[in-house]
Amino acid sequence: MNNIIEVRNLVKQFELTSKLGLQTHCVKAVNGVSFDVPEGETLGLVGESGCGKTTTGKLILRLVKPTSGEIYLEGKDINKISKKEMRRIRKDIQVVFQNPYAALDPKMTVADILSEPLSIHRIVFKYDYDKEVKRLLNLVGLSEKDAKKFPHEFSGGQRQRIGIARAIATRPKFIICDEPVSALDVSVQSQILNLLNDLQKELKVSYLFIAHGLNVIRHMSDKVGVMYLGKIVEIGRVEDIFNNPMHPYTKVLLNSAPIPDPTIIRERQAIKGEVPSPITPPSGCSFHPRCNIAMEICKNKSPELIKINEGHKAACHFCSAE
Amino acid sequence: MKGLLEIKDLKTYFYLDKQAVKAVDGVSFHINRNETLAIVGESGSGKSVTALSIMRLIETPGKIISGEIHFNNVNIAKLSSKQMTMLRGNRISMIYQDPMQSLNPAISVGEQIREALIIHKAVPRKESKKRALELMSLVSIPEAQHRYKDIQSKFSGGMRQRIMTAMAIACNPDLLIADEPTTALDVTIQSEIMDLLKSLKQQLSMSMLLITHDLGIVAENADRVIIMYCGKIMEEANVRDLFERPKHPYTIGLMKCIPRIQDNVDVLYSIPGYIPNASQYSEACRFHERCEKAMDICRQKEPELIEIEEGHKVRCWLYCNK
Repeated sequence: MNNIIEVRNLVKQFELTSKLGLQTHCVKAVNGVSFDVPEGETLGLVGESGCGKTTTGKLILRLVKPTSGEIYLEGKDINKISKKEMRRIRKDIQVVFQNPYAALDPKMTVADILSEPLSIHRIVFKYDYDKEVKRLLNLVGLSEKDAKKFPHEFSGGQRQRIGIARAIATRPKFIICDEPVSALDVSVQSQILNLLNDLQKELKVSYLFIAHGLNVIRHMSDKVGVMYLGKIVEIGRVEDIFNNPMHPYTKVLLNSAPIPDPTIIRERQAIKGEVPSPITPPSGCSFHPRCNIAMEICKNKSPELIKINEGHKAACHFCSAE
Repeated sequence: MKGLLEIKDLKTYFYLDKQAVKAVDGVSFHINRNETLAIVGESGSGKSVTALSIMRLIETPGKIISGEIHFNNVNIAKLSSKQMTMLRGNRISMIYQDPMQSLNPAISVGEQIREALIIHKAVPRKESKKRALELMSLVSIPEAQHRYKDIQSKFSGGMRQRIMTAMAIACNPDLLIADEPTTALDVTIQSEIMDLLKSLKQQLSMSMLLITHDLGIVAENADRVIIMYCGKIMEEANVRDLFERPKHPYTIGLMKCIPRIQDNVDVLYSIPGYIPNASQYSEACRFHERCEKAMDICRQKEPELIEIEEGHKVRCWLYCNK
């Protein structure tokens, strides 16, 4: 299977400057992230706020320039190509944003919103815009009459459908879904998740699915990467991650999600403290201050991602032997 | 009256553009002492407005139209605003969803915690500082001594929620209203805060009104549950009955449409359609447009909330003849 996106050792440092313009600190928002997204598959990225999952998405969109590392779209390094060529390639990488209330221009009708990408990337002829807009609306489960309406006339779920229609308008190969359902109500979330799955089957598009809800990640992903303080601490097929988690952080995450069944009473694994500040990350393994199996080595040495079995890797000193 | 709090036929409407938005439309329920009652609903279902009505914090254009709110045998819907001020933050207190926006950014957190003590309990200033420090350690804020003078921006989201909790329990209230206390927080922090609330509830023998849309949190924390939809109670039951034998099609749909972390399905169930506009409710059952089991009568008349088993109430025509 071909990989649509390959990310290698991606690093992004944000420099914090004081009022006088002197560089004071440096935040490694993304710190050496590598993954592949094969054609027609979904990679889920999960982690707590500040772990760098959204920055990773922005880096792939080239909205943020990486400090180092490579991003290949079908074998082409998107950071080495010219701006002009990038503009051409942009139609292959699209994004669905978290907040559908803020992602649509309130002064544009739905037809305008959906024809804009069509005209910029010259997807269809001008006299076919209407037809194409109708096709897109049908594809995302909205009615053709909605084309003349403005975003405020829609509910959150419907707006997210418009956002998705806009993303697929350019017939992309890869869509970054940045928390596409976390602003929506539960009964509407499942509609949007099903829609994204149906579109993937129909259009053979790959997703990078960024979310913090583990249940949503499990439902959507083929592969899952768990991020903590800018690093992927565990990556593998969805069954591996959920049925056989290796990294202590993954275990804690799975353990903290509440289960909607009152008959299950769980022994909760307590986790110490909170996510440390990315400005002053801990030495060695960045999870060690909160980890319950941390030893001396964890404070001194940062673990590499170690292969556990085919396609399943974890970055922990204590999960290789078994 | 039953229990600590009893609400009878509460109606809170908002008057916008001469239209009445029926946010809470005839809600009755009670909370026993030492009990956790969860209100579950999607946005616009009226769960937060119910809580704000109990706190008497509804501002124009909103108004409590009718109904009684009996708290400790006093109808607080009839209290003067001065009398209500004596009660609020003292006997009933509330923690809000977003701790970032609910704390004063300019006053130290210690001052904010002791404010309630000085106002309601006439605790001398010196004494109140000691008490505030005790409260800070009760909600597990490390190094309370050092952090007393810090302002809220020096704390993380989870810590801010702890501070808000300390403020809320300062006067040892009878009822704590928690309005989506963990929605803004990360999963690992979320479970910590819920555990904290649970243990505080036991230590201080409070009752709790827990407002949430997360059925996982409900299953792990509530004793009884109310499902709200469009300003009405659709189902009320104790937590086990609700999860084992949900009756209302909306409740059943809600439970089916959340992706589960334990197992994976190909296609998620989804409730069709969207939540109706709050200013355009008809005489019919408010769920009938999205209901798979809708009958003719559902389109004509709204069913009553009837008790079908002991403690299990449902508002649905399916159960009206039995």
